[in-house]
Amino acid sequence: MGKSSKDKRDSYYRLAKEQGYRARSAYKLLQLDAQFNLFKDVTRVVDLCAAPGSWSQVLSRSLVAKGKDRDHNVVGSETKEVQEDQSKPKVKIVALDLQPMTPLPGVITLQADITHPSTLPLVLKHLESDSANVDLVVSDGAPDVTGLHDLDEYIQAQLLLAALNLATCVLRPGGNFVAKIFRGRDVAELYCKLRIFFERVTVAKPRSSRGSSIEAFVVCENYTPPEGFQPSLENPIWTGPTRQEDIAGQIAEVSLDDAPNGRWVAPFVACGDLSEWDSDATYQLPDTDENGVKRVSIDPIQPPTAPPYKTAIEMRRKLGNGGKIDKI
Amino acid sequence: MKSRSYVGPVTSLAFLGDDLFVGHGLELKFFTLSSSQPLLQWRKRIFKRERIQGIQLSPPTQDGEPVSDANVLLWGGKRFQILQLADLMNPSFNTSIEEEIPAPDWILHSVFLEPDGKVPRIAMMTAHNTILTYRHDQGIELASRYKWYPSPERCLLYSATLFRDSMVQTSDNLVAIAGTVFGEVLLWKLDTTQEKVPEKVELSSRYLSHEGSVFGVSISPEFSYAASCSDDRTIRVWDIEADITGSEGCREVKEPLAIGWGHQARIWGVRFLQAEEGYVRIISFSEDLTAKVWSMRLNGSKSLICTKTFKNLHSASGKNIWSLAVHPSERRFVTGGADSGIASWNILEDVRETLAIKETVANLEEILPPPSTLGAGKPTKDEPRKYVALGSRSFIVAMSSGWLLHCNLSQPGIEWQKVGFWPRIKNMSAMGAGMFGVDGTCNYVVALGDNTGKVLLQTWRQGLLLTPADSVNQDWIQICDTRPSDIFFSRYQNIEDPHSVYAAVTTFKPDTPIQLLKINVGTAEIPTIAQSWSLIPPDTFPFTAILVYACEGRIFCLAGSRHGAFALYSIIADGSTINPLKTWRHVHDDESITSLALKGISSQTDANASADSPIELLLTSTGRSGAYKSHKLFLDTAVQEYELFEINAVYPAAVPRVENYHKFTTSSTAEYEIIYGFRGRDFVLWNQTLGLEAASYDCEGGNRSWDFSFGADEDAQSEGLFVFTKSKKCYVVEFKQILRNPLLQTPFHGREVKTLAISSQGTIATGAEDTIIRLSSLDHETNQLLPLAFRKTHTTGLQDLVWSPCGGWLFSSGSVEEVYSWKINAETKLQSGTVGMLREAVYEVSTENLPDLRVCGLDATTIYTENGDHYGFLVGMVRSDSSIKLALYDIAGKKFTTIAEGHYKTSCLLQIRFHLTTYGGILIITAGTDGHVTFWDITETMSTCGVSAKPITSSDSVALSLNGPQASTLTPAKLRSEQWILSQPIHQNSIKVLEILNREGSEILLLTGGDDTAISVSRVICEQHAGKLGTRISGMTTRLLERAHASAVTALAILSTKPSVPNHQEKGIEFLSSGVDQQVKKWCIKLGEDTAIGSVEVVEDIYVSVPDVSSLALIDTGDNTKKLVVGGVGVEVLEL
Ligand SMILES: C[S@@+](CC[C@H](N)C(=O)[O-])C[C@H]1O[C@@H](n2cnc3c(N)ncnc32)[C@H](O)[C@@H]1O
Repeated sequence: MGKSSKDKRDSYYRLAKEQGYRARSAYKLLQLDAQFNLFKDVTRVVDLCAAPGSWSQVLSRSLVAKGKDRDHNVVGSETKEVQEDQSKPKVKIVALDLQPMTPLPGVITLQADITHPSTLPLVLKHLESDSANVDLVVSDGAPDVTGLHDLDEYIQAQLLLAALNLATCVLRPGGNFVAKIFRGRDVAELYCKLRIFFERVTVAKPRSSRGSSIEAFVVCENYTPPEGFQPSLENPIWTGPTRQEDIAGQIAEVSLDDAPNGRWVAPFVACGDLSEWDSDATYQLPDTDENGVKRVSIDPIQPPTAPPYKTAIEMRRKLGNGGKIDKI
Repeated sequence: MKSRSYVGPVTSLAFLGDDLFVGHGLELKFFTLSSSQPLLQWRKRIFKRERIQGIQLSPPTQDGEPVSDANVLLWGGKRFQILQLADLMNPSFNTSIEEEIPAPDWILHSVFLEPDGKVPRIAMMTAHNTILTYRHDQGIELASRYKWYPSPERCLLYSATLFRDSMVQTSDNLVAIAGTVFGEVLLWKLDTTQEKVPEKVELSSRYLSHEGSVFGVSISPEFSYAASCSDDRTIRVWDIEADITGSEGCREVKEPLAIGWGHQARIWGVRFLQAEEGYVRIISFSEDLTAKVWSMRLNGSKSLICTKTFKNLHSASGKNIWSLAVHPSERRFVTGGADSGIASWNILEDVRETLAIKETVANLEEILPPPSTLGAGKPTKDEPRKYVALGSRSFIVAMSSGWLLHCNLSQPGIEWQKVGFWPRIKNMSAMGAGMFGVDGTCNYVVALGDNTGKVLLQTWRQGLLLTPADSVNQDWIQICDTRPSDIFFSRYQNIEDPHSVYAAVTTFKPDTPIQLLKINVGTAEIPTIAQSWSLIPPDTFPFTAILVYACEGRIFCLAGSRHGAFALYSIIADGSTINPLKTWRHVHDDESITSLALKGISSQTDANASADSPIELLLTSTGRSGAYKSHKLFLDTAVQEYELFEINAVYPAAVPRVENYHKFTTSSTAEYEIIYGFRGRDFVLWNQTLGLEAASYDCEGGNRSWDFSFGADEDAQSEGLFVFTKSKKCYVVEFKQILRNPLLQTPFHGREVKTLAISSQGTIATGAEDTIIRLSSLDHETNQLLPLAFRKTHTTGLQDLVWSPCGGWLFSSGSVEEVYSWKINAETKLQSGTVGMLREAVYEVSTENLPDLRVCGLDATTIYTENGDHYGFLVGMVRSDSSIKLALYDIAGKKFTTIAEGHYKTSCLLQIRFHLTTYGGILIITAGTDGHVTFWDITETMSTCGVSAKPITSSDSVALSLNGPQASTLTPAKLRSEQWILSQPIHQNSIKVLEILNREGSEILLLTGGDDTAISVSRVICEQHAGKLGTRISGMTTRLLERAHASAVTALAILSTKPSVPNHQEKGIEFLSSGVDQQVKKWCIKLGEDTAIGSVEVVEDIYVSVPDVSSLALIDTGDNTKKLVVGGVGVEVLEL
């Protein structure tokens, strides 16, 4: 799922390298913004599942540079931008991930599990506010897929629902929520749940997201919780029962007027212009770049900070001789 | 529509005594394993949409004997079912998916509790680290049957296991162990016996140090230890005793007792085995396709040592093992793969059985007299020079000193015998053995050559020398005038002349004649040379193998050479020097031919054969090229025609250096093809039929003196003997159980099927991410896929497969520009249940600097020559760099020639279809990631290449015809945007599937499915261009069905075949669609007047158990009905 033998370095990868983004994912958010104008009037954002941090980079560059020169293809201008950021105390970006994240100036980075109950209070603490006044919550959360489709889709949905629960606690009315979604067999149930909280729910596929990947993004606009809804840290919704009274609700299907069986298919939008790079295409790159410099193979933009199997690989190297560890 | 069969991941396994429950997709299967042959007893569907992830029996059967009112608990996702074992086991009892019970959250593990009288109770642990109990009283409202308990920490888990505190048998005290996404292992206890739900539950302990998600957790039977396994490729063992008994607060443990290193990929599960005295034992299974048994000493330094690795489980095409169950005896375990396979492995060899592989290093110094006693000069270092294995229990070795030794292995302990000592065979290498049967016993005639060109013959039977000692010492016969280099025997005993065995004696002198000997074994004890001939070798033809076939007084000898060639000789009784009749080069590329054997004689030649009627032989041969091949050899002496046709070629990846091939018939139904040879350091016996390794042994590579033989006599079937020299020592390796079949269920693709195509003859071709192409047939009664052939030839995951309209050829594509053509020989029954599959040609790679260039779409249409003969095909290829290639495929020359090429834009192209119009127009239709469908008129371009579309008089169809200039001499014509006659945006992004109903004619019914969840239906009207050659599109009506599926639409299949408009206005045209939402929908299109589309409506909609659906294809069942084959992560067959 998503991962395939052809997952090589494509045009967006090169572009990210050139423009100083930590991951090619940056373009997914940029293309979503181009379609939905997500950053308009946004000063307070929460970026969930943010490592290595390219979305945070996009956010900090876009929100801070807004109104001024939005052209940010200057490599290394980050620090400069950040200084401007500090002169504008209004902009607040809180980013969170399971993985450690290299600090980004102007961005509060936290390491935590979004599905853990202690995480929400942590985020709230760093937002330094009692009222729900966040304009935008974004979440690019994806689990390390196992290949068991139903389990992977369930876990991804739980990341999305954890993000939704957080959003219900911090979003101001009218705020927006954008989250990665796996369009698998039960995706219509998720759309349906999101529709209960937002006026408009669209599923968008940026051109920078590979066509072969199951991922897409739900763009939920205009946060309007149902009347009487009380967001709660203690009793998050749709993430399993948190008390005896929840059981009936967790078993029952959600239903909407136009989706009585709890399944509703969101309208689809492909975003990013056709003239932009196609992430599925293979491009013939000249051997030399525009300056006549020979192209060299490029390194990973931001190597995974700590792959879980790092120590295992080191161990193997120490022991030598491939798999012959058995005999020690 | 109704689901009829399924292949796909095996997600759960549980033993019931000796027998086995298997969770396979939505179904539970029951196999009996007690008899010699594992047998599927029944299969019953359990869930509507969930795969069975867990199976529990009540109460846990320790001794394997279930109690009479036992229950079975099955769960998957947020659903479970509780069934009475007795009901379930009754073959006529039908389960009902309506009985499935929804749970409030995802179930990771569940156990039975003490029943409430007759009412079963269970406890379940959810993915949010929460325990719920459930009382199966269907009389009360569902939510009230559950009891919720507070969680000590509500975080998301990857794994959890619940245990009832077995110290107190009837207790409902639970111990839960959980693995989080954050690398933590959590242990906690819950007492569910109390009526009152506790206010708060505490964690007992938190075990830290894993560096990735924890995928499996378990606790030892006596509750002393826990084990966890993770993304970080380690197994960690924890001491939990204090945490189980203690009650004060949560302990945080940062150091495991021991860490197990060795798996090379993610580890999915761990189980404890019964401990040996002083040890803890664990079994684990991983993404690296191994299972490992681990041992930890309780005293001294606590390290976790891997004591046994089970390699390559499900490796034929596998990637993952998803389930494992240990037999109650703990002597064996079963695994279930992502490849649909179920296999059984022995943890402990049964004491009554012999070891599967036994290695002995022979101490030859003890047997031979010390070199000094030989007299002559200074002692020379003696070493084994040449071996011949005579069946699996005896072999002969020639020593460099001139000693000839025999070794008998049929008794316990090795028995050596000195056959003789001849200084004339010092440092000699010419020795061979031929087999012949006498009254059902197996005899070997051994030929030994000396340094002067003399040969000695002797006969062995069951480890005994039959030839009297005096003839062994005297009867050396002059065969050639120089030292022989080798002696090869023909492996075929002619029925017509059972008393003759043939052997060829070669010498070190190149281009000198080879002596062919006819050895008379009529008197088995004293073999004699009845006749000999000098065979003149063709140029550069060092002999490496021979095969002699005698029939009706004619004798043919086929020879194989070191350079991959075959030569044929006709052996004339009175001749003495014989020239080859014919030579075929490059049969095994240019690599040495390692064996030659006769597989069969075509039946029609046997019937009324006369002295010069043609003969057709089926040959098998192996070569250092890494192949074993089958050929048809056609011999017509009357007209002196000798033809060799390759009909099958297999390059088993597991045996890159193939030495020999053998087919076994173990019973009327089971035939095994065993190939042996070397892979790296290992000597490997590979079972091609089962697609798995029968045995392997690390001998440090094949460049040494060695021999191998299978057991000859009936009681030695399944045995093999491998003898070789390493460091001047003689190693004896005895293999047992070579023919053991560990499979309970046949494996299929190990990763998702990306493309599926069915030939006009009903052969199903599937290509998957595991880089394998499989051919299967459908058993119309059981709806099972029967494997016909598989090839792991592509180096990347498959992108597309397309059959030639006739079904004789298959074209396949992958990444890195791979496009292959395959000849499928379905009519030649090489062996029941297989077809010949030959890679005929490779499309040339044009660019080296685009390693990621994928060939996403293919189409092929037949081309005839001007006089109506089958020339080959026009093959269209579209690729990820937006390029299109059109190539002629010449079936006689077996090669592709590019005749036209060009680019669409820069976006990735995914689909291509040819369309021929009645007036001779040639169109291609392409589609890709930009959501456009583009029609190209290539009529004129094709005509410059000599290709035109012509009506076929015999039917009302159109076909391509090739005339004029030989295409190969042309530079490819250009495909340009000027040839577009329409480029229509239909989808917002990728067009994942494109189908057209009528491939000929002036109206095209076009269907597309997109990543944007839409399906489009279009009627496209083509019209001949007035004035110039070509087509214009005079009308196109499109109906876009938005949100046709909940996610990407990836597959379409049109049910109707020939369109006839009036009919379709009433009945409509039916088609099927599917996508990532796992729904298959049947639609009906009602066409309107002219080009109008009346309506398109869903008429049926069902769920399939195959995730990631990539393809739908229809198969004729013969009686005018069709079945639907769905490909994705697995394959499902539906009745329509
Ligand atoms: C696709 S990456 C995000 C890329 C990021 N948006 C960027 O632009 O750099 C998905 C991330 O989800 C994170 N993730 C997965 N499960 C999580 C959890 N339970 N809590 C927090 N983060 C999680 C992973 O660690 C991973 O870094």
